[in-house]
Amino acid sequence: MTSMEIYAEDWAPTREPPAMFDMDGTDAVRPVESETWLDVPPAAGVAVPLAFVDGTRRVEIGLWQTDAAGKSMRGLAGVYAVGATVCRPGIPAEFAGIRRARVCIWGGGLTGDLGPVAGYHWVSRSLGTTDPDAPLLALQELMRDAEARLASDLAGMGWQVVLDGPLNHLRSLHHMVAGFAKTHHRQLYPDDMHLRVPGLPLGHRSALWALGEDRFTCYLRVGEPTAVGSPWSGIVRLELPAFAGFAAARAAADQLAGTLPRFAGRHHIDPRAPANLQPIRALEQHLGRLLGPSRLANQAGRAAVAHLQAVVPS
Amino acid sequence: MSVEPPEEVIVGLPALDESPSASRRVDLRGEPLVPAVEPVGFVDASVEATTKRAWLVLDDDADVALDEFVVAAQRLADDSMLFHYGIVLEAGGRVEGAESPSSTRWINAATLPGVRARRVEVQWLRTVPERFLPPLSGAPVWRAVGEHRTRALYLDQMSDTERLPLGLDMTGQPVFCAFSFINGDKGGHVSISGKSGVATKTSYALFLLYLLFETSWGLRVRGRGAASDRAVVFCVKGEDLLHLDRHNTAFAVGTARGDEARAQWLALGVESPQPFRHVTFYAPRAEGDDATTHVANVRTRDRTAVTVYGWTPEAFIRQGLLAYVIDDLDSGQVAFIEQVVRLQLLRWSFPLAGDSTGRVVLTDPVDRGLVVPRVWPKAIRVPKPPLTAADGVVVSDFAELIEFIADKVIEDNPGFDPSWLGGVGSGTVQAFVRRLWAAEPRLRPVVGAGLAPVSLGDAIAVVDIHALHDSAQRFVVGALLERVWEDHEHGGHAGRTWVLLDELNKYAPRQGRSPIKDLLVDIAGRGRSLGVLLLGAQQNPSGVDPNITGNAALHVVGQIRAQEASELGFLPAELRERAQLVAPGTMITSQPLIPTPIPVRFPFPPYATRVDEVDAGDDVAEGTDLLEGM
Repeated sequence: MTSMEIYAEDWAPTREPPAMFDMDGTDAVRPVESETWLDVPPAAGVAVPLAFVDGTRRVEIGLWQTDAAGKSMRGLAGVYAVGATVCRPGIPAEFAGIRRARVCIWGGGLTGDLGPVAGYHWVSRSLGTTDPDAPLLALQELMRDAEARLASDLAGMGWQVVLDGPLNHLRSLHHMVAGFAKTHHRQLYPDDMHLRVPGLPLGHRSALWALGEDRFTCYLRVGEPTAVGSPWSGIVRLELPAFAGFAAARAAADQLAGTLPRFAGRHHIDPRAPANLQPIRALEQHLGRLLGPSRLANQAGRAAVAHLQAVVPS
Repeated sequence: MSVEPPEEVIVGLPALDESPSASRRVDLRGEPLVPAVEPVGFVDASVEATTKRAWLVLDDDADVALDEFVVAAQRLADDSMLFHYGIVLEAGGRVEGAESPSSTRWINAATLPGVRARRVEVQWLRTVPERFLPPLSGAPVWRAVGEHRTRALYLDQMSDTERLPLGLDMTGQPVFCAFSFINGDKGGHVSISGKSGVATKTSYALFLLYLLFETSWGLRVRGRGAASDRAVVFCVKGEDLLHLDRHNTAFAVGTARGDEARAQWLALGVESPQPFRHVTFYAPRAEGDDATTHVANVRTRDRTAVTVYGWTPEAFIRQGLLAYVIDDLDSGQVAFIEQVVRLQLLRWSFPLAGDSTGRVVLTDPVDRGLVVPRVWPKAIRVPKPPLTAADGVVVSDFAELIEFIADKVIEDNPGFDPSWLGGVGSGTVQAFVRRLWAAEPRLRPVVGAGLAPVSLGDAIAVVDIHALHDSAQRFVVGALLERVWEDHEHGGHAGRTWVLLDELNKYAPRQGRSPIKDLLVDIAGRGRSLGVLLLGAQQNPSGVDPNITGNAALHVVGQIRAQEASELGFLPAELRERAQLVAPGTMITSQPLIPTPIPVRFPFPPYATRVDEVDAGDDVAEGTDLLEGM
């Protein structure tokens, strides 16, 4: 029997990984900064205004709609909210750019608002597909789009944006928006370099590689794992837009490598620490509160369905 | 899905240079009074911080202990600064992340994440400026030093000439009290509570007295009239206080205790503390003492160093001290006959011709052709000619006095005179006489011809009463205080008289009435305006009349019994608990100016407070003096 190392995953086992719908595709990767392993120590950078952007969403009631032919289509009524935690030197962190929407997503080309009832109004969105999983994916996509729009808005105002997740949802990349991927779904480096990633010290990053044609990426250690945790715990992947050039991307990577470890999550507070940064966790909780009580939303959704049933008797 | 859904904007986008108003509150840059050093912690943001209390989360590099003073700073909406000053009342800590006791093991093994958090709870003493606002959660907190300590302890509201040290805080710096609050100007009286033996009540009272009478602090705060100030100290436990003028052997240079005490005295501004210098000792005469020699009843001190005190029959009668002989004067109608007998004694008493020892001749003034009114103030002003022994009954001591009274009030006796009864029944008469006879052996040492009163002209008079029976102790205390009170109430004494009296529950118990209790209550109520100030001490404050403890401006608490803690409503709950276990030498002080009690330490004394503390050199010196005087 060969010797093995075993670790515990520093991640809440009950939570779905935040990027479960964000498989990064198979964009080609190639070295741009170094073809060999590179361990870049953190630069003593000047703190810059940072905006951490994230979103949350919730299915509030599952729906069925049956047409005259007796064909049933799945739908859902849900809500998402996006926002940012903005952090500036010497100024308390605060929440900003909070936006919320309730949508009623139907498959098979069906339409129909739900509500308004008791202050709840789910606005109709129609999908062409009949895939029963499509409404949930659509809700996730709406949230990701909203995050991307907010990230672009903030970047346009001069904020260095750290967008939770990869950049592949941005319609147009902005040089001030960096992607922050906490989970790793594919191996980007060759085997020998891949094995060295978990050895990055705190605040150190690996070499920037090109990810497809529009992004650069590198690994960064933002925090240490627990005593029994996987060495990959605390390793995140940064994504940086390529259109501004390699030098700008490298400067941004160095800047973030010198800054982000300060925001690392705390193991005893957050089961997804340290990769789940403190501003992100606080924002998730804040947005969660803004969604309101799910029980009340569900009640309102049922009341709205009952109202529709009464108006359109079967 | 290209069209964006209608989104509700809950919070807008912040411009880069747009500073939220909340950020201004923590921006303390450029404020001259904000300490330049790193803060010791921050106001805990996870729990409510109020105008009364707050928890502080300590920095890893800071240790902040109970009783330390801290300052928190914040900027208000109007851009002004607000400082909160507080005292640490409680401290605690935990490892966040540990959800059960067994978690501790796993955190120590570094298999479970946890973060150590240490906190202290602070009670706010003051805000500057005076704004009743809570501290800012998350605000930095520093130790209050320099100007901030001055503010925390309200020293900026005490002039230099009214600061009297109460002791040293836990960092070894003096804590002051405004003298005007204990000298009678704005408030008066000191009440000291604590268990016997460990609470060091008397030690602390002596410490205050020493500061007042033996140091430059005392001269400064007492100001004009200081030369007329005096103190009467009642010695109730052993002969401990008869050695205050002698060096304390444990105060010697080179000993750990002595050096520490000297450093503490120095911190109090007393450079070279010495034993009491302005003190005179008084003790009752010894048992079996004949009427002329008057040997003091002391065992641990040379008897020539102690003056015998007492009251002559003449003084006893003219001061109306009969009231202080009977402990339970309010039972039945004894008080009626006592009042009548007291007045009759005054009316009937005449000086004994050729006598200078205070004997009196008792005879009916009518027989001498004198009209003596039956009102005390008038009767005492009637001049009495000296009479010979043949003119009446000569009274030389307390026994003869009682014998005379009994002869006058008991119906079958030859001298029975109904004008001495006050109309009471024979049962009351019997009760009255029984009480007098019971008091006779107890008061014998302090009432007799040739005895001299305690001189109230001394700066500090230590009056030993420990060897006397309880009744006699009450008599001495009552008689002396009566004289002090009379001096101030009608005599216009220029200075103040400080009365140090332990076991107040014996003299002014919560239940019942007695002349001495009435006198003490009167002193507590009016004494501060008349210049009579109590340094009262008691083991059980619950046993003392609340009119006395309630009138004290300065309260001092040493170690106290658990059941007594409820009496100390001025102490926060934490200090009530601590008061049950504070070490000797630590007292909790509560003064009017500072809204929260402050624990202090006071230094070991340079003077002996027990015979076994007396420096051997002093014993030799006293022996030499004695031999030379022979």
